[in-house]
Amino acid sequence: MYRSVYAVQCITANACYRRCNKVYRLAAAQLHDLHARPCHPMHSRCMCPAQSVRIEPALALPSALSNRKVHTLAEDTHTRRYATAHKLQCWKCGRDLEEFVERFCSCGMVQSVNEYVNYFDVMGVPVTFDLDRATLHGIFRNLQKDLHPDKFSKRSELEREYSEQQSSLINKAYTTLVKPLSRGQYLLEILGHPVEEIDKADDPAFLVEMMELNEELEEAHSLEEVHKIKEKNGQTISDITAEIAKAFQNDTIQDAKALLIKLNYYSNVDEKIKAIQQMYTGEM
Amino acid sequence: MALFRALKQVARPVAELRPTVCAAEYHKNVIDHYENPRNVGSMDKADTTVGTGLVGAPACGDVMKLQIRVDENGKIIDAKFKTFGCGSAIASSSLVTEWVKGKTLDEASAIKNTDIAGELSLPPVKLHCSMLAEDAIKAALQDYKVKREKAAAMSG
Repeated sequence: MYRSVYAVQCITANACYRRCNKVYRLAAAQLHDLHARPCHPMHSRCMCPAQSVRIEPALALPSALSNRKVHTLAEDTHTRRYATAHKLQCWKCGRDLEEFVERFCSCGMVQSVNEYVNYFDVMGVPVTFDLDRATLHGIFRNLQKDLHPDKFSKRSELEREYSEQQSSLINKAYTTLVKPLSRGQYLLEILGHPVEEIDKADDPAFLVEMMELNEELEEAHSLEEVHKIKEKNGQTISDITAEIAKAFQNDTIQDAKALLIKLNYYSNVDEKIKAIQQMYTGEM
Repeated sequence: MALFRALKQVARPVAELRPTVCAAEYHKNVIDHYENPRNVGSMDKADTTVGTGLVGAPACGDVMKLQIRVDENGKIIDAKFKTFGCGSAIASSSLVTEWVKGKTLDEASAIKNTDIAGELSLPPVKLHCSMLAEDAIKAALQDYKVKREKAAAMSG
């Protein structure tokens, strides 16, 4: 889901996001002239002319994953160097901001969003697939408690704007990381192995299975039948999610990618089932 | 009754109910094919005059089946599709089934994704849907050829 958002942002916000290579390349020259803005460091293959150094996060991250320590991108020396090169200062008092994610300066002022952080850094959690909903939700609520724009309604316009930026970044980070599918896809992206639009599904047996599953749902004649499909599908989803966690733990990224592709198909079916149920209960 | 109404809505082979990429503004040609998909259905996979192409787009979780029926003169006389995916994927496959009818196998294999994307005015982020439709027709043609060769080898 975030993929599409990126592609749109690429044009409207002129930010360079990894998913939109094609689109970005088309607009690159123009963007370069207008903004001369460096690419997001998460780009392992971005051809943006404004990026003088090619950052390869894939080189740095797997160790962070395999050691399974509490290890964030911010702690990675490579990234830290990058972050230092783009050192941010408090807009109000001018103090150098030391932390990678510093939302408030010690002078108490809310800061603008640091564009060089990933969603794991935003939430202050390790770069790993093994995150649970409750923890993320707790962090999310705590962050929003301090940064929600409502808190800044009586502050200056700039502070309101920054709190909106921060709050919306936290929303994006939370919604991306809270669902196993989007979390896994995002992790693949960071690791430099995103599911690309040009990727082909090369497992005919799986495609036949997906066709049949969708047809089964299409032909379901009662809510009971729909429930049955949902139950079976839900079991498949949790099985695959467990396998994905294992694959990331073992650093077998290609396996994780193959499993996430499957999970995407099953999740689509799940969404459809939910919509059917909603339509049904909505009309009761 | 409510359930049947609900099911009727989702029973369209295709409606993707998620408000994802597909919520973007569609060109009227896409909407036309989406709302009135042509040639939805299935043919017998085992039939020797039928070629079946089954392809998928891993990035979206789309699956597309395209089938052709070929007469003894090597002309495509019928085409059917079934797509579970977004509006652009449905429109692309629907359009292709219309285009291939009456064409020879060679003519059908000349259909390019750029023609499909052009006709439907697909935006850059949706170009892969037209590529999927091109892959589907190629796969169907290939499946038919393999079947014919097998049949020829059996009789010869």
